[in-house]
Amino acid sequence: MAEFAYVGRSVPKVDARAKVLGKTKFVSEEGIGFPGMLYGKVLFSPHAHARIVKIDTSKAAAVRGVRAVLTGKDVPETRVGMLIDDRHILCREIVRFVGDPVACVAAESEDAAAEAVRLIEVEYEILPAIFDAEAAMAPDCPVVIHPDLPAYNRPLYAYMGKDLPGPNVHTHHKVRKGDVDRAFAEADFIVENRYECDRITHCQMEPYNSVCYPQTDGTATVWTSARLHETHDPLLQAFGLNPSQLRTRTSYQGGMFGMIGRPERFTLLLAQKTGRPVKMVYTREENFIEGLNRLAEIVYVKDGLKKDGTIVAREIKGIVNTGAYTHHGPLVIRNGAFHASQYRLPNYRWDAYGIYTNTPACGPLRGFGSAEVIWATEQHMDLDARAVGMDPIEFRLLNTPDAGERDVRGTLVTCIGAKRCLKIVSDRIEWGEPSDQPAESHIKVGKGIALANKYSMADTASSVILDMKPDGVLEISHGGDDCGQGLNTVLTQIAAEQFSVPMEMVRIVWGDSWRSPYDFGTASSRSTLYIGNALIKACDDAKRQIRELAAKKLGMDDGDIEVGKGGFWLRDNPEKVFPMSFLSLANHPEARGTVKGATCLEESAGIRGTGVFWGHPGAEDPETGQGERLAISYSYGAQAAEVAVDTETGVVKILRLYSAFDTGKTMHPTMCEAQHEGGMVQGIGSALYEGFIFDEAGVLMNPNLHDYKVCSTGDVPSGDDLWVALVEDPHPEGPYGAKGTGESAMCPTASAVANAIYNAVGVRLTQLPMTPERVLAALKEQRGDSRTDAAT
Amino acid sequence: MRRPIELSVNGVTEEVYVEPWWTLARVLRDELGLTGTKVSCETGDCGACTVNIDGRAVRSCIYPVMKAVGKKIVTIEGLSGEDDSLHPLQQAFLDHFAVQCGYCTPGMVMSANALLQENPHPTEAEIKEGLKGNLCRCTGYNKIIQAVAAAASASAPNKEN
Ligand code: FES
Ligand code: FES
Repeated sequence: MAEFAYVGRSVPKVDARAKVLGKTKFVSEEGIGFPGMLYGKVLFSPHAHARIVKIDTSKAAAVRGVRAVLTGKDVPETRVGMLIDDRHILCREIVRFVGDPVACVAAESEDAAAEAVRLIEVEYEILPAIFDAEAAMAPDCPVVIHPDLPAYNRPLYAYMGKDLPGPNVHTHHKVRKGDVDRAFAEADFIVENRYECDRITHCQMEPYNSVCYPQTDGTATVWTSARLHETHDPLLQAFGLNPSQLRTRTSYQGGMFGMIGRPERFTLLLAQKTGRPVKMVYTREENFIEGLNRLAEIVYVKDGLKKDGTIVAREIKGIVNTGAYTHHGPLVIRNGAFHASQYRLPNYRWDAYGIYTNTPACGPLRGFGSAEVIWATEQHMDLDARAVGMDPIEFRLLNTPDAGERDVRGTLVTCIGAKRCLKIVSDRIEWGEPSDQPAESHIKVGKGIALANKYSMADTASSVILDMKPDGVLEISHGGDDCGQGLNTVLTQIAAEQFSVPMEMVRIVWGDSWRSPYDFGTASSRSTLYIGNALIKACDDAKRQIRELAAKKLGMDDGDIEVGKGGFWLRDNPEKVFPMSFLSLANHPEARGTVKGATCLEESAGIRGTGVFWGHPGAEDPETGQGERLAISYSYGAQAAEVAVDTETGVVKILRLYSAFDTGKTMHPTMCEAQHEGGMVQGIGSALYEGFIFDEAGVLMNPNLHDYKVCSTGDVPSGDDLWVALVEDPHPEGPYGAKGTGESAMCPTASAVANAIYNAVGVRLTQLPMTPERVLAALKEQRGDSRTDAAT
Repeated sequence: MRRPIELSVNGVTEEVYVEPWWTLARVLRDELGLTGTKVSCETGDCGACTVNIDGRAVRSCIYPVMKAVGKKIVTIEGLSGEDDSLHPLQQAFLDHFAVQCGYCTPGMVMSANALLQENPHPTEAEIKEGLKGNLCRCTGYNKIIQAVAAAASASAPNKEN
């Protein structure tokens, strides 16, 4: 393999120095001390389902310093959404969950805004509410959350709005392959079980925040701490603006994990109404309630197996509680089916249903559908292995496809490092050797493994502009996001590699909807693959232009010119590098004194290369879910966990967690390893600690970092016990063979832990998070001799 | 009513007008423009706002500004030297890729600084204990623990490998 100077090396992270100095300007720093700044605050519904009878804002408006108090009558009448337009910016008539925004305020100080929100008087007529997805799904459910659903606009994937079994069901996604019923009838074993995961949230450390500056020409600039593209487009839709009327900007984000902009619709609304800049920073509690959290899901899995260990059929029914509004929900539901490409499944039936309930709205979170379903299927694989009497690893290896096969959906498997990854983690955890048991007899130690994949959608595109400055500096403009994962570093590596220049010669400009070229944004583990490819195309384009201009000027052929090292040279004389300024107007033979400083070229403002990379998606058959090219890449990998279960307290401790994932090509080994370590720890959080707790009225009981527990240093293995291997099975379409990897590390963790718990104490936990209470309950049930393991 | 107070921040005496109920974090960020100190939860649960007061790690989001009068406050901005030369801890965070989004970083570095002042050669377990109150959502902590250990032993590896 070719040796690279920058690509594949752990070069310095371009943003790290400013960050350790505390000098990076995050969006939360935007507008501090800006003259005339107003502060926004939202009034959230205290009821899970109610009709707004009357709102009296007079007392609130009278608070000193209050400049606007807005309610549902002040917002556009049209509903907005991503896949289903089902929501107003502020509730107009009905509130549908505790936390649904009812009014918003702008005031001269945060204190005045908070006081005004307290003084808004709302009279509600309480309506019956429903929280349980399976109950809400019933055809005769007495509570109907969106009676107008059949009339709602569905701008994307509208075919998922057919065959809906009940009035609260908004989505039905199907995949069909083969003859599942016949395969079940012919199977030697049938294994069935039910799994569930509670709702979790991103807990990015920078709280959701936004500033909006109205401009004198009627446009507005809105800053978001979330993704550029996924904030900008919904705002255009919600406010009926065209792209030149709204300028959306962002900076380095303080964490992302899939989160989508939230307060921007309020800062924009308030700025429009007041003509003043408005800043909003959500409290942590507001982050929990208003953030579009990971949806809660119930997954029923049924597998049919042959005695030899082959899976002959799999049926999955997913019941997905997306809360009161859909946002990305239907897409998350659909994408849950991508998990299936992990195994060879000759007969497959998938039905996933999205259900409205009177709980907070959900959206995308790292893993986007995959993590939730894999939580179920990777435990189920252990049940299957037991049923056929095979080792869980042998069983997985037997059923894992190879490159060149078609996956369940009909997409060609191009590169798949799954088997290698399984071997790496199983060797390292000494699979087959029993765990050492501590002297305390109430502590039991066990091992578990899980395999996972994470797709990257084919239905997206990226574009990049590369300007080569007269001093040879390369300026990359992209429309993605650097939320700490290191995108700007990776793009700097690629450009430096392409032009053989030091990384200091590369500058990145991003995060501005008026300046940055189009991008789908940082999501779906796609940035390196898509933006990296677009950048390489832009580099090629710039090089071509330079070759043409230089050849013309020197009277040579394009093919005689090589580009790089901050300039170009003649193929047969690589020693003499011409600087870029050689091409500038200032160096034109006819140039006289006054254009001496002219850095433009003779016929253009400068060298500008552009590149676009589009995934060329194949169509999905609405009835069968089949499609030639639905995902552009899959990152495959495995994790192995060793856990200690305290049978007296139910506390589970992760002793070791090993991960191996196939990156295609690791662009930056240390950053990639670090990102995987972060994903594994987020996975541990989702496995053991994180989950929303609601009371019977639908009030979230733990909307803070004290009662909703994010892993701290005390909860995780470290050093060699939190270990990552990166396997390279080059992707044919990836830049340097790379494919996405951002989300994958979180996907197998919970199942690996659950399988290890089973190995330690013989109980199967089927609901996330696996809290001490749930572990103890399972152990108690076991003592009552009624095991929860459906395969036994 | 706002009243004038004097605060010693990063070796400089600053006069600020504050409401007595304001937190130190609010004054540092909004009044003094020291935005290196981050605010994430405002309930004392995440450590993003950690500064050092008289050498101890303190969560400035729940620390009343009036209590800070007469004490020596050091923020992330006060850790680096002339011309942004890095403190050994900052250098170690850089070298070990202990920074991803960087939002937890200032608080993490200030907690580590207080830890190392109290215990210059902590074990891995002591580092984990000392940083328990600082949440990081990005890194999984491994690189942070390595960075602090390296700063403690003052033997940071080369930047590139
Ligand atoms: S912001 Fe102070 S502890 Fe979280
Ligand atoms: S680096 Fe992002 S929270 Fe720590």
